[in-house]
Amino acid sequence: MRLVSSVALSLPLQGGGLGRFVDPFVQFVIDVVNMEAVLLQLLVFGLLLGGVYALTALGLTMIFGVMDVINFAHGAFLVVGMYTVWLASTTVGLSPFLGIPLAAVVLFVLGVVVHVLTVEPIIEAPQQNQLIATLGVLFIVQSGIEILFSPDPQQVSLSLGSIELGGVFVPRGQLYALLIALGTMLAVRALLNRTDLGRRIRGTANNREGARYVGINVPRINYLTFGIGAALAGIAGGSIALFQRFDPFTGETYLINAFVIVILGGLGSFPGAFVGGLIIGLIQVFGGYYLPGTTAQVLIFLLFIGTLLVKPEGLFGGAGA
Amino acid sequence: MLELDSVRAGYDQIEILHGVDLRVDEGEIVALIGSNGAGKTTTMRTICGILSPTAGSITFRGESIDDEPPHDIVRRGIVQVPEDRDLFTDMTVADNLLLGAQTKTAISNREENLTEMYELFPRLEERKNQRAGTMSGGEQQMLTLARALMGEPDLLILDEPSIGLAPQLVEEVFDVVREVHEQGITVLMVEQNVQQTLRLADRGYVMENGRITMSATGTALLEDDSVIEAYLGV
Repeated sequence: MRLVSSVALSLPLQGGGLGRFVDPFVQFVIDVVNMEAVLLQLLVFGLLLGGVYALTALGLTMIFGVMDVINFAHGAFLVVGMYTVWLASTTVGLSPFLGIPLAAVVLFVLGVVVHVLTVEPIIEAPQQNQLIATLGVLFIVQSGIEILFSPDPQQVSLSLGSIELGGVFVPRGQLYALLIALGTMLAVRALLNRTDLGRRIRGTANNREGARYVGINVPRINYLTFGIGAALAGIAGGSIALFQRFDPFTGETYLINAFVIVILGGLGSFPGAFVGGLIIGLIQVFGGYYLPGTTAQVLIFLLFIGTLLVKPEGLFGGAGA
Repeated sequence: MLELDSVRAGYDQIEILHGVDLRVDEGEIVALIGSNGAGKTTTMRTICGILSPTAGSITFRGESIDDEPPHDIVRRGIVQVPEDRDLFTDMTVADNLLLGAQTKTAISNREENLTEMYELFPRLEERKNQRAGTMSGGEQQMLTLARALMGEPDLLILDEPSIGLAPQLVEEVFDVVREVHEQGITVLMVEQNVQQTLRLADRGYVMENGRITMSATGTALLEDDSVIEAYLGV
């Protein structure tokens, strides 16, 4: 034990410019060897964040899986979810826990409208077309919210506090967000695996042409999937609002991480979104603690590039939605 | 039952069908033969609404169907076994069969139909929880047929159902077609086994370069010199 701490003390001596990036990893290993209590705390924070990240990626991966559309509007959907919960709570005093289902409904409708107006007319066009159209939706929605509610950060006034379990702090806001995320993911799984609609969605994701041949109304599956994907973003955004301040542009950060998660887990893959979300959540929390500044985000991008180089189909790629 | 009148269709700017006339009557087996690239598959895809005709008309039971999307055409009772099968390869055999039933009546009868399909194709029952993509070509073809039958078609369209199959499986496919027909389903089929097909068919059409060039009863086509020379390799 003493030996290890003396190693830690001697670190700054050997670390030159590069040491700044190496030392944190060494420190991490030392903490693991010493079984520092902080690790457990970080693990809990990472899992709490990761679960919510998984939910932000779920709608994105679902829309991609079914119709090969890279939906940049997803970031806007997240923000609309946050503002719906906030608005319902500040104007009519609706509890944020009821605001989240409301956000799901609002976003489902918004998703269907956005799909019918922007994606469906160009669904057969090459992929970059839908990417640009949905990016346009992102800008329009962000600016719209900025005009309506100012660019200032907002927050849902909830004093939920935290619980302490064996020396580990669990903020209630994040805990509820995680539970909502897990519940939602289980519900989506049940929808896809146990209902006729779910089977049709999986079939359309697997083989669009086959879906048309058997008589599935594919345009309808498209807008329903887009609506469900947006509703998932609404629930994710609403859950994030439980524990974080947000502004019209908060969605972008989450969107970028969601894309990394989707690539890491495998485009269109559900288990991929879940595992990818946890990995990114853990990297962000551990990286934020050990690494200087925003280096954690660099690590996430390195992982992203590494995935594309080594296993471009992602961890669970090619196994269907 | 089904009538194509001077149908023109194709992909983007390239016209493949230059005015196709074709008729299928209730209860018939009609064969469409022709060399590769003649436009047989394009014709089948156009009937099912995967492609829209640029000119001409398609009517089913006297009603125009040429502007309808595929799912409406399936609802009318036309179901196709596509040439490249288009199975849901990542899903189970049972899921594939259940997805074959999309109309209201097909959905309400699907449990009975499923039992019937498993009787007709015992291999599919053995493999019902297996992913469709992991099965052999012959099994996949049987699954495609069974999936189409789950849709309770009145008119079954078969596009090269025996392509790439071993001889005894080809025989099995023809047996199924015979059985299906005996149950009162009208059949329109494209086949490369010309002799066998024409023997089975009530009537046949010969297609060349996007047009129908000959139409007669199956037996008459079998005895026609130009058909013998071009398709029977004698």
